[in-house]
Amino acid sequence: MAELAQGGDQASPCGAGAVLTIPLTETSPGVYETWFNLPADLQPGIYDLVGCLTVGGGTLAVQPPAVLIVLAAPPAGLVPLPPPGIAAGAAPPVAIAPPAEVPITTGPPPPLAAPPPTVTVQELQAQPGAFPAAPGGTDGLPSSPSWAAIATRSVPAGELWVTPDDMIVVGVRSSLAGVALTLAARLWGPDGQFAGGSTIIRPPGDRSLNFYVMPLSYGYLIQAAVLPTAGNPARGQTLVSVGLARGPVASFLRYAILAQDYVTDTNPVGWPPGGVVPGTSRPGYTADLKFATGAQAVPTGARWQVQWVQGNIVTSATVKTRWARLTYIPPQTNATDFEVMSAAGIPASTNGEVYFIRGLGQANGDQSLGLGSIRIATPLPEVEGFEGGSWQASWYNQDAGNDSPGFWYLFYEETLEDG
Amino acid sequence: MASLRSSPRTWRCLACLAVYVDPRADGMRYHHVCQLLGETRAARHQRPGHRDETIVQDRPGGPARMSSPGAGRALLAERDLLTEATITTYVALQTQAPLEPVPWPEADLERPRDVRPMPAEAE
Repeated sequence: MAELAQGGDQASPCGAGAVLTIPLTETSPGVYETWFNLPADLQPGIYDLVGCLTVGGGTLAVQPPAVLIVLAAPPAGLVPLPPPGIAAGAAPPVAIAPPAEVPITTGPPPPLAAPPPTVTVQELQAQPGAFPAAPGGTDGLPSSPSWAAIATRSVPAGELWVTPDDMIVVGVRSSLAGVALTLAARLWGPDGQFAGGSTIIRPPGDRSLNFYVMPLSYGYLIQAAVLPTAGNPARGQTLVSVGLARGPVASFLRYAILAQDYVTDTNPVGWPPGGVVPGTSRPGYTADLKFATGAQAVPTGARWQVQWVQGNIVTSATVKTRWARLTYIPPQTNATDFEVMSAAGIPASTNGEVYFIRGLGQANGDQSLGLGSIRIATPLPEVEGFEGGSWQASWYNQDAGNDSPGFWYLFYEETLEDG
Repeated sequence: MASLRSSPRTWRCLACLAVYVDPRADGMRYHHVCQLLGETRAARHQRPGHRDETIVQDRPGGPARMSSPGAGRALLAERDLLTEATITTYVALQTQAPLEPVPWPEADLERPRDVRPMPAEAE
């Protein structure tokens, strides 16, 4: 994903502020080398060497710093010594001995001198003395244990160890314009502090599927939640999934789904407790359409179940029987149209009012509206319209130009597709 | 940003003269599609300039595009003229002078997108 929504820029060991950036060259698969001139004005002292792996424009890993000790400023114009066996000015070697085997250790990594900064995760600043420190903990936040306390206690099962390689991926599909969502997460860092961060997501309202990413830092992921902060989406309008992913931002791989559901003001989608609610589960969002003509197309990423349809017509004196017709045209080319005709016809010189109602037991014609008026109710089966299909309401066998058809009103329940 | 607009606008399709509101008063997005012509499925066909505003994604998370702009649409008002309309005012809306220009420029569908390569592209 090239343009994923991320938070504002912050200082990074891989970005501005570095004293000296040294590019590496991959001299053979998996082996990176460099040799370089120290600047003439580099002051003697102790410097940190930080390794940053950048793929697709995103920083994937920040290695703990190594130490570079500069004893004295080098004379200007010093020519660096090439690696052994290579003449000065020659091309880099092609074959390099494989790197030494790296021992694999288990357990949590050692505490860092300072948590590596990320794009959007910011450390919470509590009021001094607001909460008493927990035994073995540090000041500021309630029950903030030290790293030693973490090491000697069993970690609750609801926490996930994450690194800068991991990121929270939020997928959003929304039918509502003007929605703003807040993704909030908390980390239990290796220094024993809780770090919280949040970012704003503004999804388009055209029901397209969009992904947003929040990079993470070292620590246990305590919780992650998405809640609306603008737009007041109702159930069935804004479908949100929260997961964890790795890989470059441009082609991430989701390896965990923490939660999915419709987000509303009182129903944040988050973990814990998590859980996945299919987007096509009901109830959805009930909406209505008022139209005189036009196909009511089921939008991309949506499903429409028609609840009821109403139309009216004032027929002319021409003697013929008019019928109301409701049609669903599926997108599949081999399928036939689904079509329902009104249970009764409408004669000449009549004010006709027609309903198609889902769940209605039996058809009925009601003439209690008075002489010259008729109300016809027709049962409507349960038919779910998919994207690409369309609902059409029309008058069959009408006296075109002389009859006076009115508006059609279509009430439907919309749910959103997961993928 | 067009995609975040939530105040209703009234439009007229230049192909079928249907009048509709998008976004609607409750903020929901409405995508107009011209009704097909023909009484039977075999005889159904699109009218000239058939407009289909359905948003199409060729793959999930991919770039979004309108299915078919067709003859375009005209902006009638920066508010909802349809909700309180009678059938008589509706007929008048089908010939009411639109706000310039005609057709109205199509909305920008650019947005954050997932550029994960398709399996065929990755090979």
